[in-house]
This record gives sequence, C-alpha cells and structure tokens, in this order.
Amino acid sequence: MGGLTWNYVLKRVGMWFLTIWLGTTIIFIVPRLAPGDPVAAMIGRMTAQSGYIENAAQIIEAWRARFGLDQPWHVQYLRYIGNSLRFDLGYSLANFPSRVEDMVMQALPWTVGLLLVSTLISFLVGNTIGALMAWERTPGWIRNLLPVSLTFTSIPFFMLGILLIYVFAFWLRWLPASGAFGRGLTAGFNWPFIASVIQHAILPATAIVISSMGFWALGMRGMMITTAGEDYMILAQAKGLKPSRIFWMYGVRNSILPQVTALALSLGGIVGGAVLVEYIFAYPGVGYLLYQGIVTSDYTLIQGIVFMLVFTTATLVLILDLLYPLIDPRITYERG
Amino acid sequence: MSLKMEHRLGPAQQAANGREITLEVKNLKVYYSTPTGDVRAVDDVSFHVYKGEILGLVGESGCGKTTTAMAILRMVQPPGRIVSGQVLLDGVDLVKLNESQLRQVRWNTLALIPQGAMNSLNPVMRIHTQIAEAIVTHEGKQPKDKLKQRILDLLTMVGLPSRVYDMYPHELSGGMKQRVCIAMAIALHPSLIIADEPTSALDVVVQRVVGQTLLDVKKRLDVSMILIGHDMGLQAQLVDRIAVMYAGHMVEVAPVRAIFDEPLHPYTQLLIESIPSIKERKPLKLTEGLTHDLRNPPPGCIFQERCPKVMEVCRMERPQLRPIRPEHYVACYLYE
Amino acid sequence: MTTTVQSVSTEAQLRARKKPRFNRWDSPWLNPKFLIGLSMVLFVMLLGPIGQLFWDTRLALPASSPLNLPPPWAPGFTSESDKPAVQQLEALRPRATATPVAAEAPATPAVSRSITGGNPFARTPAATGAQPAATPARSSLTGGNPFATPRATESAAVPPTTGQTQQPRQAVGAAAYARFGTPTWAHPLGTESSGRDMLAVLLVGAPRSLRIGLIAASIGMAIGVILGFTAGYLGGWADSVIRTISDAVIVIPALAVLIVIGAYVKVLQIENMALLLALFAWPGPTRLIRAQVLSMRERGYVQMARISGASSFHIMFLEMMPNMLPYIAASFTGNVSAAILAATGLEVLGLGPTRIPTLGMTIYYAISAAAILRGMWWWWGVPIVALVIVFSGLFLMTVGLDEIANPRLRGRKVTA
Repeated sequence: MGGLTWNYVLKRVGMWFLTIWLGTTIIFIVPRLAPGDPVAAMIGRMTAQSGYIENAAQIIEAWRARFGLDQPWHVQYLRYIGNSLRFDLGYSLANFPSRVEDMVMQALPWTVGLLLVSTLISFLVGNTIGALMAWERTPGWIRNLLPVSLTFTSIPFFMLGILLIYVFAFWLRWLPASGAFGRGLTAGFNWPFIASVIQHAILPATAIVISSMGFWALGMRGMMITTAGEDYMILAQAKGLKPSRIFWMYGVRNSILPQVTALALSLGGIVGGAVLVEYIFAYPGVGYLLYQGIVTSDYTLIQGIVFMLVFTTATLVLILDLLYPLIDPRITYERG
Repeated sequence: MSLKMEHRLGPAQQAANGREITLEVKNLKVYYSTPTGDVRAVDDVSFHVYKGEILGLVGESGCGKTTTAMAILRMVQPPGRIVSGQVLLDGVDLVKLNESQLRQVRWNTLALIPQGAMNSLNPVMRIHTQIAEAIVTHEGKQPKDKLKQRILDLLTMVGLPSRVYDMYPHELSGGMKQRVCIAMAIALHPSLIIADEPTSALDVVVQRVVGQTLLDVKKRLDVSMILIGHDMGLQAQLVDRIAVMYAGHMVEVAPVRAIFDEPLHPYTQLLIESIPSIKERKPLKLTEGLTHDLRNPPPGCIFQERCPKVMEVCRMERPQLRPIRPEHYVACYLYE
Repeated sequence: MTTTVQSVSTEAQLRARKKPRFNRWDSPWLNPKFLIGLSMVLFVMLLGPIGQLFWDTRLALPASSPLNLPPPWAPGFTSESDKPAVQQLEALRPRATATPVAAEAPATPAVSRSITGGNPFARTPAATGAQPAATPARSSLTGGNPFATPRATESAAVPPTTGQTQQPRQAVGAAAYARFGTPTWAHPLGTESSGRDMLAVLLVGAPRSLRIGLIAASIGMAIGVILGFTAGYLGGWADSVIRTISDAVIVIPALAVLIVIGAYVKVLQIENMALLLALFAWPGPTRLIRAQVLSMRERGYVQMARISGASSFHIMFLEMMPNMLPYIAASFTGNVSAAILAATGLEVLGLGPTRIPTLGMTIYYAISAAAILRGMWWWWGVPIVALVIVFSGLFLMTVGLDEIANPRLRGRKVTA
C-alpha cells in the first residue's frame, strides 16, 4: 500500500529515538547544572516543612541509588537512560513511597483521552470549516463562520478555559469547574460514571477545540486556494464530475496532506497547552500532576512526567508519520 | 472493441458541401475585464470542424487559442467571460446551457486532453479510479469486471501496458501520463475532443508517440478533434485542416497542404517561413513594427502594425473571413 | 514556432498605464490587517511608559492598596445599599469560610470534585431559592449579570446545613461578599487579595510580557536565519544535521522541558527566561528559511550572481534576503506570539519572577486564590484582556504579512 517502505519506517523510528533521547538528555543535564546538591537542598526544604523526616534516610538512599550520584557522570547518564526506557522513573519525593511511574500511569489516560478527543475534533471541524470557506458554493452563513472561529485562535487554551469556567461553571452553573468525574461515583463502565466523565470533560475539551479550530481553518483555506490553481482541477471540471466530488476527492483530499504535516509539527505545542488546561481545570491528568510536583518540589515526579510527555508526543508524531504514506502515495522523506 | 456507440448531442448537421459538421463556432467573443478596459482575447471568431477530421488551431502565444478552447468547454474563468456568439455542437448551442446541463454534456460529447499532463491527473488517485469516475459519472454504476475490462481496453488502445491500471500518476512518465489523458478522453466516445498542446511539454521522441496515438484514435473511432498548438511542423503531420489565429482573430483556414504550399495571409506566410528547414539555409526573418494594445485594437485589420504588405484599406475596416478557394478562407484585403 | 521579434509599448499602451496603483498587497503599511494588529500591539507596549506618567506604579507592590476591591464601574455592585442587609445576615450566623474548591486542589490529586455534587445539570438550591429582601427573586445566581459578584458563593466544601432554610447559605455568601470592600475610583480596575492595584499591575506587567516575547523571538530568529541559510545554501551533511536536529526539537513539547528547567532554577529573571525560550524558538525559523533558500537557490538571479562571481555572503544577504523579508517578518510576529505564550504559560504555573508582577504571575496568584470561583473576575480578567489584545494584534500582523508574502491568499475562491 502506498509508499510505506522499510527505508521510510526506519527513518521515522530513528527520529523517534532521537527526539526522545534529546528530550531525556536535556532533562538529565538541567538538574546537574542547577547550583548546589539538589538532594541536600530538597531534604532541607522538606525538613523545613517537617513532613517526612522519618523517611529521609530512605529517600536519600533511593535518590542516590536512582541517580547513582556517587558514580561518575556518564555512568549516571547511562543508568538514567536505561531506567527511563524501561519506564522505571523512581520514587516520588513528595509522596514517598509511591513510585512515579504508578502515579503517571494513573493520570496518563486522562491526559491522552482529553488530548486525542480535543485534537481530533478541532482538526476535523477546523479543516472542514476552512475547506468550506474556500469553496464558492458554500452558503453565506457558513462563510461567516471563519472570522468567528478565527477570533478565538489568538486566545491561548488556558485563557479560554478560565473564561469558560467563569461563564459556564460559575455564572450559569451548567457544567462543573474541575475534576474528571463527580464524587461518590464508582469508576467503571456504568452509565452514571461515563456520563459524569463526559460532563466534566466538556469544558476542558471545548477550550482546546475552540482555540485551535481557527488555526486549522485558516491553514486549510489557504491550502484549498492553492489546490484550486492546480491543473488537475481543470481536468476534473472538464470531466463533468459532480461539484461535491471535485470538492472532496480533488480539493480536500490534496489539501489535507500538508495539514497532517502541520499537525505533527504542532503536537508539541498542543501538549503544552493541554498541560495548562489541566492545571486550570484541576483535571487529573499528567498536567495537573506536574503542577502538584512543582508546588511540592517533587523533582523526580517532574522529571518523570516530562519524560512521559516527551515520549507521548514523539510517539504520536511517529504514528502520524507512519500514517502519512497511506494518504499520500508520493511519500516524502522529509517532514514537510 | 468495447466502446459503446458514439455520444452525440444532437442530430447530424450538414454543411453546404454535404459533409457532416460536428462543431460550429459562430462569432465568438471572449473578453477579460481588467481595471483599465476589456482585453479582447477572442474577438469575433468563427470556424467549423467536420466530422472525423482533426482541425489544427495555431498561432503564437497569447493569440487566444486556449481561450477559444476553454470557451467551447464553457470553462472560461473570471475575469473572462463569453460576451456573445454561438458554439454549436451537433447543433446544440453550448453557450445557452446551464450548469447541470453542461455537466452532462461534458466528457460525454466533448472531451479535453489538457496541456501539460504533468499535473493534470489527481496525484492521490490511481489511474483506474480516475478513468472509472469519468465513466461512472456519466453512465451510472457499472458491473466491476466489465468496467475493469473496458479500462484495460482503453489503455491498450493508447499503447499503455496493463500494469498502468493500478499505478499512481507520479509513477508514470510524461508521455505515459499524456496517453492516460487520451485514454480518458476517448472513454465515452465523444463527438469532439479538444487537445490543448498535448505534446508541448514532451521531448521529440515522445511527441511522436503521442502524436501517433492521436492519429490512431482518430482513425479507429472517427472522432473529430481540435488540435491546438504552435509547432507548425508537428501540426503538419497530424491535422487535416489548419486554422490560424492572430491576436484573437481568425485570419486563415485551409486544408493543411494548402496552408503549406500556398499560404495566403501575410501572417501565415511569416509562420511558414519561420519553420527551420534541414534542407535549405534561411536567413532569420524579423518583422518590423510594433504589436498593438489588446485593449485598444486599431480599427481595421488586426495585423496592420506588423504586416509587410499593409495597404490603406487595411486600416479602415476589418476584413472578413472569405473563401478564396474551395475550403480555403482568408481574412485579408489582398484577396478581395 | 515563429522567430519573429516583437517590440512592445505603443503610445496607447503607455497612456493606458497611467499612474501605478498601490493596493493593500504591496506594502505592509497599506495593509489594514497589519496596521490594526500593529496598533493593538503598540497600544499595549506603550501602556508602560505612558501609563507611568499618569498612574503611580508603586501601587503594583503588595500591600499598597486595600484588599479585594472590585472595579467601581462594574454593574451590580450596590454595596452601599446592601450593607444593612449584609450586617443583618452576618449577625445571624458565625462566619463560615467559603473555601473554594480549587484551593483544595494541590493536596489531593485525582480526587473528583464537582460543584453540583455529582448531579449533572442541577442548579444549586440557593440559586433558585429566595433572595434577601433587598433584591427581587431571580433564577440566576448573579441576577443575570456576569459582572456582578453573586449573592452567594457555593462550594461543595461547605457542609450542608440541616434543618435550616436558605438564609444561612445567603449569610455565608454574603459574608464572602462583604469581604469585597467598597469599590472606589482610586482603583479603577480594582485590587486583589495581596493589596496590589490592578491598573498598576497592568502598566507594569504588560510591557514586560511583550519584552520577553520580543527578546526571545529575536534571538530565535537570529539563530534561525544563520542555521537556515547554512542548511539551505550549503546542503550536504550540514543540511542533514541541522534539519534532523530542528525536526527533533520541534516535536519536543517546549513547555514541559521549560517546566523542568524552571522548577530547578526557582527564580527566573526575565532575561534568563527569554534565553531559555529562545532555546525552543529557533527550529521554526530555521525550517522556514531553509525552505525559502532551497526554493530560491535555483532561481535565475541567484545563478547569475553565482556566475558573476559574487561571494556566498553577498548572494545570501544581498540577493536572497530582501526577497524573503515578508516571510521573515510574518514568521517573526508568529514567533513573538509563541514566545509570549510560552513565557505566560510558565508564569501561570508559578515559575515566573516573583518580585515584579507580570501578567502570567497575576493569573497564577488569582487561580491560587480561587478568584474564578469567588467571582473576582477583575483579578484574572485584566491580564487576560491585555494578553488577548497582544495575541490578537500579533495574529493580525502575521495574517497581513502573510497576504503580502503569499500572493495567492488574496481572496481567491475554489470554483467547482
């Protein structure tokens, strides 16, 4: 099918490795650049909070063993890479003895769910609006949607989130302001739980969808206009094909390709925005967990989460890259 | 041969000499509106195409050949518009048809082989899909195996191997793509095929193959063709009659031998003389004089500024296309 | 093929040419979108220097103003007439702290929270119940006015009072309401719970946010220009290396890594933050410029320059660069926007400078103090409005510059 050659797959997987390695290395280097011994400073801070003194010895042990701080740098580095690849992310400092990977795995499904649903909806809706924008047969009332959707493009996700909370949770009281599901509900495949999950997800997802829709619409409109000038559009028209077929199979089908590339490139930004949205909504995903880690100076948690974010983003991009030849028979070896 | 009976738009039209006429263009005017006035791309042009013949439409770049073709297809893009005139295909005036009627007429009775097939095929659709959609759009759903056989027959007719059936356009060479376009054009056995410079973008060897294919197709299907081009040498090998255009006016129409043996209009004479010859050495002939402004044509003959044989009467009134010999029309006061 | 030579320009043609027409696609200074965007950005940028002439910016320091004053022009604040009713209600019950939901958030992760107690679409009883005698009964909590502080602040954390009527809940809310002092024109945009005057915060913080963005984007653009030209012009392994690394950096979620850095380096100065942002700002411009250089490399005028022996430097900066300016400008405004967004994002999480107020940190303080659910819309509203103006302005500038750079985007439509 298409152009999915081994060469291409290998290149993409190679990029996947490189991206993860690069992110992980930066995460590794930063603490060692920060002044002072992080462990001692952290213990000092925790002592001041007088929370976990009895665990201090175990924590120090765990930390040192984890990072091998008594070992030379390159050994620490290799151990760190090895651990990360096995998803062995260490103990959480603030919630000892919880392990970071357990906390992350509990929160990750919420983040991935929110991300995937919002990104998918905004991509589909935004591109559809943009395509209709550029087509002369679109009725006028749809045409006017573009400026409306564009006005929200410049508002970052989390600001729109704040506004949505204020309007819908505080003033109108239609939707909840935080959390992922109501209290007193048992998790599982029962309808009350699922309904509550959906209800709680509406506002965060809406914040992301409305904010990013305009970006896709604008890009798609530009691409449709470019596609309209291509020669195959002339022949399509001369063949007497139905206008709807020309719109979808010739216009949209060719314009969507650069948009998919753009999606892969913007995933990093979308993930960052989702982190902030989770913080605003106290949505129990990794973003919110990250915020808590910041507040409690839980460095292992922060590093673990950021590693997972880098990993998740790189994996999503890899999936997109592997899907790309299936929609464009002329595979390109470079991204864009 | 699995091609069905020829699609005709109306009853057979007879000319005065008893031959059947497929296309008759009467007093066609196509203007482009610009902020500083109308550009007269096609200014009162009349000609006809007999059944089963290839009419060559020649002239230098910008003389209005492609605009005429687009006007026949009713695919003139704004800011161009058909001001007046008739385009009678099998007796039916195409100018008067509305959008949905046009869509039915297109490809069924009137097909296009576009200029630059490089980009005329949809890059994301396989060859057989693109040919099939032309058939299915106009003839309704077809049984799969019959359709496949039909497409394979078409490919064979234009000299393409059957593996082309499953390929994507980017896997084909320029000549092969052009022949795919020819196969598509004859798929519904139309009354008239317009070939807009089908060999311009190809090298000489491939030109010959494509030209030969066109001749084969014409012979086998008895389909009328308009072959647009500016390469006189190539036209000489392929067409039956030649129509010469200059700056939106038809200046001479004659059988191909007559044009080459005895060009009557001064412009045609210049064209013929400028063809490089292997046999004799010719000095490069340069014309004196300026071209006119297409927005503000001078009264009288359109060629007056560059004509080496211009007379007083030429500047006063526009000469009409008149038959000087049987089947040999000229618009020039030298012969009145 | 005819080999006749044509000359151009008759008298008629020269007359017809008349004067050259400028339209909005020839120059940014004639493009309405660009100009509107630019004016919005300049407005915010000049808020600082000009505002300081009229307003005392020392009021941006904590504890410089009374706490929690709403803006005086906000409709629905009839604090004077409400005071008797408020005092009456307060006398009925001891003060209950309406601890808003979000303040609990840091302690327990992943615990569900719902204002409506898990019941979808239910209106809280107080919203539909009887109101104090001062105001007529209304179904909406805020009397239909989003800008008014509500009469009651609901919270699931407030234990339900058994066997009592609606009034105690009003008292709770009224107590909270009463804690918002009397608005005064001395603080036209209100104050927040550390005693900062919002107008002063705006005047101090807005230009700061812009500055971070400009510095980070400039550094990023500079690196991008150098690397992009190198990759595009030299090709070969330099191109492969640069392209691969920039592709990898783009995929990494910048905010996440910046958070790690910010968490360790607890106090981030503006300049350092700008440098960090530039670390992630360079791949975009690099890709863009590389693509431009690649497409320009084979153009006629570049070939001519090469043949005539011009140095690479000359070709790059004197031949190619001027033709790329619209793209570079459009990319620059986009980068400024992204940098400001990243900086604000960091600050919203609390990783920004603490001594000087910036817009992002203001939002952080507001959320930490549950300002959304307490109805203190002016606290987070002012920074948001300022930032939205900046982002919208930059966006319009980018779109306007894009129209100039890409002629095909000028209002064409698909015909089918």
